[in-house]
Amino acid sequence: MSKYLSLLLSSCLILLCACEEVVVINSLDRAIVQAYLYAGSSVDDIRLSQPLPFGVDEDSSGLPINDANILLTHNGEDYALSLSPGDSGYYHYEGEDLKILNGDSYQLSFEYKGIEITSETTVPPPPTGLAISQTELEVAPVTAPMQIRTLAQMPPVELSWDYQGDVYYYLLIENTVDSTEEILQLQAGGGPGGGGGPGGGGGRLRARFSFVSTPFQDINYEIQIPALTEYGLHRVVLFRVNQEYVDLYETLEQDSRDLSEPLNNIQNGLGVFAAFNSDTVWLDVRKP
Amino acid sequence: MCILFLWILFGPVQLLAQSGSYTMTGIVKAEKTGEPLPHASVKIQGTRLGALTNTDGWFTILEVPVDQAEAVVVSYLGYAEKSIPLDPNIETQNLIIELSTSEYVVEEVVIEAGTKQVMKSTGMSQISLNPAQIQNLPSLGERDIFRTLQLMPGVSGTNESSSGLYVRGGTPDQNLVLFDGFTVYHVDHFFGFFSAFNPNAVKDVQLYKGGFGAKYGGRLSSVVELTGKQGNTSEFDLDAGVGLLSGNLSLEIPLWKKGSILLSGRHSYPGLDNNLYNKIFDLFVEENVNPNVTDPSFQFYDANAKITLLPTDKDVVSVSFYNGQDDLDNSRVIDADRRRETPRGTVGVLIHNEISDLLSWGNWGVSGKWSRKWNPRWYSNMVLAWSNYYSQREQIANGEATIFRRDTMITRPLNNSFIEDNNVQDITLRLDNELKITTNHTLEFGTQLTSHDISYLYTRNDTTEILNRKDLGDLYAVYLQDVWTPMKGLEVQGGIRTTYFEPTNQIYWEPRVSASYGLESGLTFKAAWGKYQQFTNRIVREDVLNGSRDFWVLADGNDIPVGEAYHYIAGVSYEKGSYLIDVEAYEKRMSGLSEFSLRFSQERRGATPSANELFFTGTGVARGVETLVQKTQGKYTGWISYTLSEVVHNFPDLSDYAYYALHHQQHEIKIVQSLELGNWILSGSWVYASGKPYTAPGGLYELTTLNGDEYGYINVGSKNSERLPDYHRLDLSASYTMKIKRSRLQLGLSVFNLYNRRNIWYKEFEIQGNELIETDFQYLGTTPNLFLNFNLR
Repeated sequence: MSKYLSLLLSSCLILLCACEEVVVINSLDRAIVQAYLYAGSSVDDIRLSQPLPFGVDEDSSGLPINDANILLTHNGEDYALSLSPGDSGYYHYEGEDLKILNGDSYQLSFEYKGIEITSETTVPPPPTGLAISQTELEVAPVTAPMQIRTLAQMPPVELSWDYQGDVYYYLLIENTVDSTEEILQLQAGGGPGGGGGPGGGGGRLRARFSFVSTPFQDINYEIQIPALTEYGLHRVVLFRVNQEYVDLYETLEQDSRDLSEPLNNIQNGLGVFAAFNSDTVWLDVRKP
Repeated sequence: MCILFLWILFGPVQLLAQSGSYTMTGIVKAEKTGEPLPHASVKIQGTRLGALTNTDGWFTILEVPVDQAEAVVVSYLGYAEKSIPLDPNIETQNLIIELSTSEYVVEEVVIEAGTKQVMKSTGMSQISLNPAQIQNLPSLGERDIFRTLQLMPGVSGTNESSSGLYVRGGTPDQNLVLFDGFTVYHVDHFFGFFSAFNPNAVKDVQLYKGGFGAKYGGRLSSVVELTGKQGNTSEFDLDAGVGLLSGNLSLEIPLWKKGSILLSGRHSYPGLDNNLYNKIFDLFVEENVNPNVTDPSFQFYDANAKITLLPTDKDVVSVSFYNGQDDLDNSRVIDADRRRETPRGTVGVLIHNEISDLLSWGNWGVSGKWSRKWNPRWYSNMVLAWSNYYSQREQIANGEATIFRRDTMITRPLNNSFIEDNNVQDITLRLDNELKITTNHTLEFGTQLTSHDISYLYTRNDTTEILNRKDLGDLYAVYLQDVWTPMKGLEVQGGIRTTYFEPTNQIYWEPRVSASYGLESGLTFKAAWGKYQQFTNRIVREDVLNGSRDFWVLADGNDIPVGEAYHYIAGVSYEKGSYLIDVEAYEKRMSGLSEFSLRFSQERRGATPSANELFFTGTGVARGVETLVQKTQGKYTGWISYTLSEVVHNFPDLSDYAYYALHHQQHEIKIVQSLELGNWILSGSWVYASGKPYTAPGGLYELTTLNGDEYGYINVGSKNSERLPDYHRLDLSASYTMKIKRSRLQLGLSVFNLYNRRNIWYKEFEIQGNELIETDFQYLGTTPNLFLNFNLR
């Protein structure tokens, strides 16, 4: 009988030892990743943060994580990222040997509070056949409110590219000239503005014009002239967006009843790790 | 095969199978009422021969050796064991064996034992329950069959708000509940504090916790088979009872010894507003946020009727009817002031919300059954049944939340309104046969045809239709199993069930095998393995903020897969005298589990999520070891059980890792004791269990898109990663029975949760701004209850 009992007890022990692995991650121990790779560019847009607890009267952009040892892996080779100045949770790669290449996959990994966080993204192919309807645009300064209508009536600058399937793009329009003049030169009273000088706007320091569109699916884009606010040589970059960012973008809204969170491709974490590829055309905005 | 069939149908019955032996047939009945007793044990003393009575109380034992058979010993839970000496002159055909409860014992022929016994652990993962004795255990206002089942080892005993059974890591929907042949889909009455079954209308309850035979199908976990009383065939009988919540009345009317009528019903008191009711109702209002309950009202009833006819000695025809309904108006007004002053101004939230909340659910069931004993070897019964479960809930919220953030104040509407309507119907035709081929082989075979019609509607804010399903589907099943006793003490049951399920157009094979080997010493080894499928599922609708709910749907093979489980069970029991020790280890591997959630719906910008984005499919494993030590006979009876278990689910789209299921409880201890002192019965039960898992919002974060837009989020922690506090409670009961001529009166006092443990049922969360308001919903505190039962003959 003892033989049978031993057999049964052994079976019970084996059963109990066969426990399933259950991993629990505290919400406040989760890392939030916002990491973007751009084909042909250096790696400098990777930010880590952590959630805030309820009831804390703080800006909800999250607490930066400044002590992570992040590895970016490409073709089996590890590249260690460094914390960027400012302790704002941004990381970059200092060397020149890490290339972001079309069609290649990159793995991001680091450990945070004992949890291994990983993600992977693949660089999409660039848009092809990108063309701009005009490379130079003459726009007269707008000095009176009535002239704004004239601006709006100008035909848009058209961008077009090849159809690559139901993929997403976003557009960056950025003035490459540091010191430039504004197109809108209205004064508070509606009279002629001071314009004309570097920095415009009465000599105030201001950032260069930059516009980023929301992701969209199309094979053309119209740049409406009133959207351009400065003179200068503008870089018009069409980014092809990979699926990870599309997933995030399409699920950005959280329903407060369901607490649905955006789709993410961060294993054991939150956020997004995405890669983009692009083509560039130029548009010079000039005075007549 | 054909010849065998003809021989069975028309051939002469071999009463004397071989020289020196005979076939014993008969029926086991309750002496007092003439009620046939199913699953009674009939043993031939001096041999290892024996049988269990079938649903109609009949039994057959083949090849009883004349020279060894000393007596026939019959036992049934709650009745005195009876031993009838066998001699060559005694009639062994169509024996009528009548058993008595302790009040009516005839001294010369009985061994009084176990007459107050509530439960008996029998066979492979099987428990028998005596509904007549559950009044002797502590109760919560109403004596209840499913509440008593929750005190059994392997069945979770901590679900005060649900009568549904969580058996060995299974959920209530994975438990097939059959009442007189029709399926009961939802067993909750009165917030789930007791079940839909009136114990006055039930005479036998069998719980199969796993490894059940091929006769039963359509569920992954367990089976509860309830047999309704057919009523007293000898004389008029009346039972009446009053508790603090409801009154009940049962009538049993004989039909000239050729049948009987049973009428039984319960109804809550009009204007139900006594203390117990208020305590239960208070569980449903948000007391921690300054509730103001408006016009609460609740009522429930259930009614059973059964007509049984005995046209011949070989036939039983019965029609059974059941209807029960609950109506709840849980409308309320919530006012919460969570503002606080800081050096930089006022922060926090002020909430005013008027909620109209109406809920109604119920069951209908009708079955017609014809049983026939064709000959001593062959018994059949055919059931035609219709079952309907419905649940309608309408919650309309109308309020606002004002968020204070220092110098700013934002007012937001609160419109968390929804409508849920779930309707489940089935029509079933079932044919079961039992054929004793030889002493060593009993063949069971049958068929089942079921037509399902299940609909579910879920809308939000009156207009947004989240889910609208209407599922129709037929199911055809056949089964065959053989109970084989190849050698002394060894019994092997092997069978297969085959189901064609029309919605998936597939055939499902479910092989099952179990074996037990009993030694003379009282030691029995047992093991079982089997495959099980489930075609109708109750899906959990995850709701982190308001507590998860569920609804029934039919599997379609796409959004909702057909559930599948494999059972692995091994155990040993040892019975000596009045004591039983039983240990069983089990593992249940499940796939095709479904969950419904809007949290992971991937609801894309400008698009309504499709159904397949709301259903998630996963796998699960439940494993554990149950131990039971029971004193089965005497004035002092009871049991102590301990279960060590885990239930882990793995839904890859809901969680990166496997997680403990909502009903996971690692440890559970139950101590149930009962002492008979003259006319007094004292009893007590203590239940302890590890805290159950839940999911909670954990923190806030923000993401910035490439164009600079910022989006804020509430992060929900790992699924089911939080734990409620451990659950424990002690219940005590004392009852006194007195006889007044032939009638019987029972008076009792029961105290639920004696030491006022404030166990937590679930949590609700309200998030406004960056404030999280957490509300604990607690189970009942100390609750005394008086009851009175009266039996008139």
